[in-house]
Amino acid sequence: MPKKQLPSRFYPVKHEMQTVEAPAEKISPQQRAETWEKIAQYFRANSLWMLNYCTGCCAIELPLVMTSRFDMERLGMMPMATPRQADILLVTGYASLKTLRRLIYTYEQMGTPKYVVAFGPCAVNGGIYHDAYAVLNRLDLYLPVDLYIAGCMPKPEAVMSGFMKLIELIESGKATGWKDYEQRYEWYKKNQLEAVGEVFIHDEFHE
Amino acid sequence: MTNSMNSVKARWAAQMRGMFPDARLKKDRGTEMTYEILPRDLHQILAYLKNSGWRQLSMITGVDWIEEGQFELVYNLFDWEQGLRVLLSIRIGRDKPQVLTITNIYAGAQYYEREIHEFFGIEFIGNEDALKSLFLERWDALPPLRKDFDSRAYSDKKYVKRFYDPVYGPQGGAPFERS
Amino acid sequence: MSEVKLFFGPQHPGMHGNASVHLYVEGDTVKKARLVPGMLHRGFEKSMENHTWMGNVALIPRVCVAEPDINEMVFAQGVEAIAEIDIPERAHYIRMIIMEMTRILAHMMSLGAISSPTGLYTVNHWMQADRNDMMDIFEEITGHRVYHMYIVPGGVRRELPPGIEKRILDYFTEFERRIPEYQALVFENPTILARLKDNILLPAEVVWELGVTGIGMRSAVGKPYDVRKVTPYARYDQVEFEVPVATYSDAYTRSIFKVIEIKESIRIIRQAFDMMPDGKVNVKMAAGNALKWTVPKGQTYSAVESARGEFGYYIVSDGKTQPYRIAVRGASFPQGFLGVERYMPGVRLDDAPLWYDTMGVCTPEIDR
Repeated sequence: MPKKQLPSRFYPVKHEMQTVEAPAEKISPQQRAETWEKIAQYFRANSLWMLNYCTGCCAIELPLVMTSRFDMERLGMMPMATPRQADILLVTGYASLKTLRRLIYTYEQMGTPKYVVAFGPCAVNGGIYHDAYAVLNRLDLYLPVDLYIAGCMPKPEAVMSGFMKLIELIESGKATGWKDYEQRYEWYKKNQLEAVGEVFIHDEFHE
Repeated sequence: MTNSMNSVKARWAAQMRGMFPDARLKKDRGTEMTYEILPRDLHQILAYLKNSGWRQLSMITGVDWIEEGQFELVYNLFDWEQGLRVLLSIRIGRDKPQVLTITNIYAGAQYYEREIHEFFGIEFIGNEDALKSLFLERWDALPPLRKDFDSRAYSDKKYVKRFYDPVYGPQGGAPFERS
Repeated sequence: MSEVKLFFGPQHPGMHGNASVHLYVEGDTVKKARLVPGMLHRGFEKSMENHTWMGNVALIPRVCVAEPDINEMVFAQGVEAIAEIDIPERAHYIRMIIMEMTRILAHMMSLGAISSPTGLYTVNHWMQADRNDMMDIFEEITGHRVYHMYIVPGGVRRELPPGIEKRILDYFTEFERRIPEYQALVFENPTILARLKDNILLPAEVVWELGVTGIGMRSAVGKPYDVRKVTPYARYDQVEFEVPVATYSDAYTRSIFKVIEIKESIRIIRQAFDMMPDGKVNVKMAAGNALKWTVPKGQTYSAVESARGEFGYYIVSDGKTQPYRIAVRGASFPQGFLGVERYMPGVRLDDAPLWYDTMGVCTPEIDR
């Protein structure tokens, strides 16, 4: 018995496969990556979250920058409680060895891209505490600093213009402290261990 | 100085002279009196003062008299009711300095003694908490507030300084080069 | 249930100042607590021995960061007591005005600090906005917003700028109009009432055991034990002001006292401007080169009433151009160390930052 002929819509349509040459690429993969990077930098620069960590004296001016008069939030910057979700680590002022241990601990918990801004002259050359037995003289041997803000202590106007410069540096791709940390990790680690000894915080009760 | 405060001070000074003849009044500045006492009288005098109204221990301080080879400990007591301050000063030898603790009289002395142990190296017999470090972690030199500890030399040796190329004027380079 | 080790650590939104409290927590209650200071330790007492007497004026405001003028005042008072120098009348009144304005700034900062633990962030915004305006006044008088370096041994550094009296008094008239709004925002708010009232008690025996001074002492003991009343300095015996006292000290009482003290400070400033005589504002201490100025031999302890309690320096001089020893008594040393060790266990975990703030622990003056 011959097969019943079903309506034509039940039979798949056979097309002739044609090979077509791909058109010449107008955008190279490198240019495509650069464009995506530029878009990413724009978004990163306009929504920076800083970590709640008042390290030293210059931190007195920080609540004044955050609140109504010199509103930091109009630049997109907000405080954030946990380092896992923060972008900027503000080293406000001097760093002693004990603070440096905690700073390294915190910095390595932050996710890339991350930026470090140092306030005042104490991170540059020790500032007014240059002859103190407990204060470091140079911060950028231990953590990669992207921007220094001058002043002892810097006025809120100086802090705001520093933040705008940071935004400019991020948008143009020049704030690459975190990449430097990844590439020269052994050098940073060697300096840190030489100064600090161990990056581990002992429990007060068991010592 | 009002007359009533003068009479209070005179009466109290007479009592002190009667009970502790070894306590020498070193300086009287109105509301602040400094006494030099012997280390063996320390607890008795403190207990007597605490019962007479000097209920607050403001602080305990150490001074390093390196030329005389002695440490001086100053106990700072304040009487809020009358507004009089007493500074008791004792001297102990500089090598192997030891003092009995006063935490059984003033409980707040526990941390002051811990701080003095860390900065001067004075041992407080009876206060085991004072042997732990408080402000400094992994400290590797002399106790810092002694006079033979040079803070500037220690800082120069331990913390790397920034090298500045001293070229000034328009042709000078930026000093913050990443090295 | 086992105990969990937590660090109420230096990186915490409720921690003002860089200190760490190591906690052992079981469930929701703190079982053991210890303060681990030392992150803000700069070795001031050693650095002060390496600088000249007048050069120290630039270094010492940084000892207590929240309230820098008390450092300058105790240093100047101590040096003047050792050298036995009298300063002009006008300088005493100007010093009183500066100290009271700094007290207002410190109280406002500490009231703004309860915003993080309780969640009422509006408090912080309002307080910092007013502090900004007051810091502009300080900038006009002294040149710097925070570290003034204005009170020096011998008086104050320079005369007040013209027109500052009108500016300050107009500002405080405006500020007094806002105090009822602050009270309505903070102290009639049901959240704040639930968190602060009958919480974090401070009995009188604890005050005497630890040696707490300041608002904690006055709100627990019931007597006006204030350095300005008991051993007055700088013409505080010529102005009239009240010191709030109570016999039941919980966090709510201590916070209300700060508002009352702000009002009394404004009253003192107004009286000081009325009573201020004309004349010079400083005495030349160093006849000749200020770098070679020596202070005669002697030792003294000078104290002032800061926003947190009795703050003092013990100064030892041996007749040279540099101090022999300066020891700092931080006003919140007792409650920061022994208070945390003995009396923080038992509070709830979310009240730990509130304990730290309402007891008035200021870390830079403990660590120096």
